[in-house]
Amino acid sequence: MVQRVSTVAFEGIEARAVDVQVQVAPGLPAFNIVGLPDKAVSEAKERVRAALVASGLALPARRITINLAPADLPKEGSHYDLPIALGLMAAIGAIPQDAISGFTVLGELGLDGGIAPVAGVLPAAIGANARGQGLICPAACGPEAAWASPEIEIVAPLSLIQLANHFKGTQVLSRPQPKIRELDGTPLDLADIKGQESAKRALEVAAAGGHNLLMIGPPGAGKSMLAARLPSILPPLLPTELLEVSMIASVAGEIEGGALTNRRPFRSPHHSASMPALVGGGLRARPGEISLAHNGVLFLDEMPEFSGQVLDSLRQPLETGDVAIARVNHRITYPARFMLVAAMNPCHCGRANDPDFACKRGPNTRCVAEYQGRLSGPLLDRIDLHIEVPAVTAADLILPPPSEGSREVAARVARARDIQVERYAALGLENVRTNAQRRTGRCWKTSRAPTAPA
Amino acid sequence: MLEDIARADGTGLALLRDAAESMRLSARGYHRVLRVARTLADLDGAEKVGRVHLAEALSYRALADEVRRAA
Repeated sequence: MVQRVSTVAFEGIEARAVDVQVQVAPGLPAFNIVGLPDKAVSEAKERVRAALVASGLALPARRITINLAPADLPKEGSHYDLPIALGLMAAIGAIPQDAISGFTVLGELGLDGGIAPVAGVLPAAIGANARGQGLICPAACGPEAAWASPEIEIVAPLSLIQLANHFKGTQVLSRPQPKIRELDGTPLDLADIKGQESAKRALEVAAAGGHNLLMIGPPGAGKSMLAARLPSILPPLLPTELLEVSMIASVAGEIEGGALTNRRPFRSPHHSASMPALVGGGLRARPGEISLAHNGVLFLDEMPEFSGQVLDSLRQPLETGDVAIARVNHRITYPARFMLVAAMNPCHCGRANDPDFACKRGPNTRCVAEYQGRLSGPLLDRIDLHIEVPAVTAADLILPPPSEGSREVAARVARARDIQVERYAALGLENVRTNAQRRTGRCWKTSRAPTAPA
Repeated sequence: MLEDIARADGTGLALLRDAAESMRLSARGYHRVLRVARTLADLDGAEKVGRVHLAEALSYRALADEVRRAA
């Protein structure tokens, strides 16, 4: 007799259905997991055994075989603990055998029988919904899963015992509600910046059209300060964008407490970032910073300090709006339609554009050429707005703060963005939302997800 | 498609042609200038891309020229 439980394996932001088959057969006591498990999956044995003991159950002294089908698809991650445990519980009669049919299950177990949060619950919920199944996921991820659809049945228990009671009917769990993350603290405001009016104008233009922006200026001119205030003038994510952004964040395990946010992502990696960190890759072909910045902003402070190879790897995603990561075991395409905002000094000493300054290393122009030469021409060609951010004078700083803050600018940006969305919708280009976006052949499959609750 | 969306008026086109030649804009650069000009017009709420919009868009490109020469 084989007990079956549905779960998923992740391929990029797609959740592929995986069948967990549990067989408890007579023979020498053993516990084997087959079906290309990685280290985290094979260790599930110990966690499952301990969690069952903590819940007052014992593994039968028989031959237990777990198969993760399809057997040729590599299985990674700790979310197979819960489906394996539930399959075993059904096989030994601790829960009714039909209770878990019709559910996709994922979750990590603690040794005490608690269920810990895992990454990728949102894509799993969307996948389960598409197959007409419900979802069993950790309690902490419940609100995230609830975004997939208002109809999908979701059980989000804290522990194995709670789940068993739910199936018995002694303690029925209610369906979690979708949650939006509240902003913590007051956001930075553009009114904090005195002077720099032309830089603010360029920031507004970049935000309105989703254009790439490069700021060049001496240290202390306020480049990073300007960039940090960009999120405050960007409009909130549209519902379809929210799902795209959240799917990537979910796969990367970046959703805290199951609550999604409608703020546009703002990623500012340090200049020591490696290529896999930026474009994605690594052992599990995880999304990189540029995918996490999808529909938002990627801010590269001190751009020439990034390694040249890393910067040039941005060239193709900047054009196509996605990044195809090819590894031996994975071929994954992640969306990466981001706004590149970069800041840099004009030269190594930072003051080349100051007329009173003479560089000790030779003529100013040579210092500039050396420093800016680290950036490749093709990359610079892809940046629409190049602005100079001059040093602020004391006279500017003494002035009272500007009357115009982020709210007024954000209103103008939102109006300009509305015009663009309408225009491209009228042309039948639902995928294009800003002037800077190119038409691409690829359509991100968020259409499969029903509209998110408002 | 972009040409339809960001169609400039006569004087604007003349400016763009002159600037594209003197700044030696690449085909991509040319189209990116058009996109920025379209955004500037959208910010103004203007139906058509005017000479002012193109001029401002080109000014954002001018510094790029300097940097690229250094590169």
